[in-house]
Amino acid sequence: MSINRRRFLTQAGLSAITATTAGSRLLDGGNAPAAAGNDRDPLGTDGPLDLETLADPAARLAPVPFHGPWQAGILTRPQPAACFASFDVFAGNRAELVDLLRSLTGVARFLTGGGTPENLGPTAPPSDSGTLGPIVPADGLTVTVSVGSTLFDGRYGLASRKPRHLKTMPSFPNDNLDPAQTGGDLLLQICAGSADTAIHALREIARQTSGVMQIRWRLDGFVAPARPSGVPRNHLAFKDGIANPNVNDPVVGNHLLWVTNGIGEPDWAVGGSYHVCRIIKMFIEFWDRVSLTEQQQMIGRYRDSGAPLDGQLESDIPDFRADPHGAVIPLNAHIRLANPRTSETDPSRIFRRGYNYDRGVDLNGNLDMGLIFNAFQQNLKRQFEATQRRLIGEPMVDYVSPVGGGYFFALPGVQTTQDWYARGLLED
Amino acid sequence: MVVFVLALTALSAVASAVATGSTAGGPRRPSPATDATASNHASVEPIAVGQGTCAPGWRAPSAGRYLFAIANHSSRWGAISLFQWGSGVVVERVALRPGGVTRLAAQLEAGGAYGWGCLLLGLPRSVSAEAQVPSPQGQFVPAVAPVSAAQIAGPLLRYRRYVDGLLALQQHELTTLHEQATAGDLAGAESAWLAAHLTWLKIGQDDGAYGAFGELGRRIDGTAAGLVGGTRSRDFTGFHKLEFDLWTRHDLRAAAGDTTRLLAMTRSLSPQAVAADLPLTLTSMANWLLRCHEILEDALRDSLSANDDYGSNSDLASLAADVAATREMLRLLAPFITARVPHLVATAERELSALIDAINGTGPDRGAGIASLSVSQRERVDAASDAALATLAPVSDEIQVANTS
Repeated sequence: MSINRRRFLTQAGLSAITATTAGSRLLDGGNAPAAAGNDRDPLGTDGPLDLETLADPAARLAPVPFHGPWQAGILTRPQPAACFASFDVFAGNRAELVDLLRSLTGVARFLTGGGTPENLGPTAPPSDSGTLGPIVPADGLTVTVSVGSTLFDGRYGLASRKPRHLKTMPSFPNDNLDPAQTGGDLLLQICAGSADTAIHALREIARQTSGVMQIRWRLDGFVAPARPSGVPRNHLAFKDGIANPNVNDPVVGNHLLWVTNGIGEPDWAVGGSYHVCRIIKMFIEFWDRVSLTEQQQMIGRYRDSGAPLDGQLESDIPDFRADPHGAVIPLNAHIRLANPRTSETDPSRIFRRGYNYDRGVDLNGNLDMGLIFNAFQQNLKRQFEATQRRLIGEPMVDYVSPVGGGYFFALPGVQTTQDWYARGLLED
Repeated sequence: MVVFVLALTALSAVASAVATGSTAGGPRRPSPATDATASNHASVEPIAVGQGTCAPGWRAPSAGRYLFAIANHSSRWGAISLFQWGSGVVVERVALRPGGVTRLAAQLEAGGAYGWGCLLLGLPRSVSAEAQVPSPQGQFVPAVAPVSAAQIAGPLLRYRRYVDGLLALQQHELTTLHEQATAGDLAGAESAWLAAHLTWLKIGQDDGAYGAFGELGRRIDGTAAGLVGGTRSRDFTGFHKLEFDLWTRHDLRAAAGDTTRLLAMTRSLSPQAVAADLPLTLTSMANWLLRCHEILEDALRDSLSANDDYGSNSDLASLAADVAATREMLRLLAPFITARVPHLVATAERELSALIDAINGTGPDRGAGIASLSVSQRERVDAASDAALATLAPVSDEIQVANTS
C-alpha cells in the first residue's frame, strides 16, 4: 500500500504559510454571558465558562526552525510535552520508503511551522483533525526522526550504508526488556509546548503514513516545571540532567554529539547523532520507603538542591579527586559512576534529553512511572555503552528497571525546502 | 563513650557514619531537609570545624528547627554529623569542603541531647561536647542505644542455623525432583519443584539481589531478564529455568539435567559456606537487617507483578513463603525492635496475617496466577502487602548496629 500522495502534496504546499495568526483570539472577548434571565430548570442550565482557567492560545511556544544542518529537537531546550513513537516500516520497496520519508518531511515541515490546513471541500474528510483549532499553531513543535538498525536489513538495500555502531540494543545486566516495547525501524521524538500539540502531530503523521508504517510502541512524556528552580526533577524527585555537556559549543558538539567527517561513518550520516532511548521504569513506592540519606547516597546529590554532596549548588562540580575514598560521595553513587570526571572518561559523556512518563497502574497496584531516558551522542560504543557498563550493579538498580526502548540513529537535518529526511541515505 | 553508627548501605568505613532518624516516635518520620528548603529559618547558628576542633562552645538552643552554618576552617574535605548523645544515632550529616561554609537544617527535640561528630579526611574523628535541649517538664528524654554487634550476633547465628536446616530439606526435595524427572513423571516433578522452591524462598533469598549468596543466588533463583537471548541463554539456570522446562516446555530430559546443576549449586551452600557468606561483620549484619522489608519488596516487584512466572502459577504460594521468611526475621529481632518501636512487631504480625488471609482468599492451594485473579482479590493482596511494607520499611533504620569504641 502506498502513501496517500494527494495528502502529502497538499500538506507540502502549505508549508510556506506561516502561522502568523496562530495564537489567535479564539478565546478572547471576556467571559461568556452568565446564564441569567432565563427560566429554565437550573439542572438543565450550563454554568458560565470559566475562560480564565482555559489554556491561553497565545501562550503557545514560538516555532522552532525546521531546516538546518541537524534536526531540531536535540539542541532544542526540552519542550514540556513529548510523544515517543517507534514504528515498524512496511514499505514494499525502496521507492515506497522514499515516498514515506518525503511524506513525513512534508507533514513535519507544515506542522512545525503551523498554518491553516487546506480545505479539501465539503465531501472529503477534513485535511486536519482540527484538535488544535482551525489554525494549527507551531507551539514549539519538533519532529525528530531516528532510524533503527532493522531498517538496514535486506529489505531496502541499505546494509552497506548503516552507521558503523548502529545495532539492536543489547540487554544489559539488570535490564528487563519487553520485546513489545523495544526496537523498531523508525523512532519519532515529537516534542511541543503542550500535550495536545504533540499528540496532534502524532495523529496527523500516523494517518498519513499508517499504510506503510505501524506503531510498534509509544510512550508520552513530560518535563516537569522547575521545582522550585533549576533543572527539572524526575519521579525519584532528584534533578535529572544537571551534568549535561555544553554541546551548544561547536567544539564540544563536534566531539560528543554530532557525527562528523573523518570518523569512519558513512558520508550521509554527517550531522546525525546516535540516539539511545530507554524506557526506565522506576519503583517509586519502594523508593518512597527509603530514607532521604540513603537516597542521596545512592544518587550522590542532595535531593532538594540538586547540589553534589560535596557542594552547595546544583551547578557545583563534584570534586572526586579530593574524595578518593568516597567519604563524601560514595564510590558507587550514581553521579560518580556515570561521570567520573576524569580526562579518560570525559570523551564518554553523553547528552541527555530525558522525559518523565506516567502511564497508569501495574498488575501489582504500583504506579507505572519512570523516565524516558533519551540521549544523543557521536559514538554509541565510546559514549553510551561505556557509561552504561560503569553503572552495572550500582545501588540504584534495585529501584529502577529498563523495560524497553532501543538504539537509533537521529538523521541529519533537512536543510532546505527541497530536502527531505534521509535523502542522503536513500538517494543514489 | 563515642559511638560510631554503621550505615546500612555505605561501603567505606568513613562514609558509614551515616544513618537517619531518631529513635523516638513512630516508625514513619520524614527526614528534615538539608539545604534550600531551610532558607525560611529565622536565625542561622554558626558552627566551627577545624583541625582538632569540632564545634567548640556547642550548646543546644531550645527545641525546634534550626539552620546551622558550618564553617570548615581546615584545608581538608570532610563531613560533620549531628548525633543523639548516648545512642550515637545520626540525625543529620553533611559534607564539608575545604575552607567552605555548609548549611545544615536539623530538628532538635525537647529533652534531647546532641553532639557533633567531625571528620576531616586523614585526621582522627573528633566529637564536640554534649548539649542538652531543655524540655518544658525539665526531664531528659533518653535515647535508645543502638544494638551492639555482640547483641546482634546471637540472632544472626540462629538465622544461619535456620538457613542450614532449610538447605538440608531442600536437598531432599531436589533429589526427589531429579528422581521424578528421570522417571518421566511430569506431575510429580512439578510438585517436587514447588516444594523445593518454596523452601528456598523461606530462606529469604529470592534471586539473591540483596542476598549474601551474590551471583550464586542469582543463578539459583534468577529470571531470564537481562540475559542476552532470554530463556535461551546458557546463563538462565536454577529454579526458574526448571519451571520453564516443566510447565512451559514439558521437557523432563532438560529438567533432569538442570536439576543436577541446581543440586550442585545448592550443595555448595554448606553450613561452612553459609557462615562465610553471613559473617559476623557490621556490614553483613546491616545487610541482613534489610531483609526485614526487602524480602517483601522483592515479592511485590517480582511475584505480584508475575514478572517471575514461567508457567507454574506459584506466585501467591511464593508470596506466602516470603511472608514466612519475613516472620522469621521479625521473630529473631523482635526484642530489639520492640525496645525501640513498641508496637511495630505486633502491627507487622497482624498485617502479615491479613496478607496470608488475602492470599488464601484467592482460592484453593494458592495456585491462581496473578493475572487470573479478580480485581478485588488482587487489590486485597496488594493492599495487604503495601500495609505490611509500610510498617516494615523503617525497621533497618531503627535498629542500627553500632561499633562502640
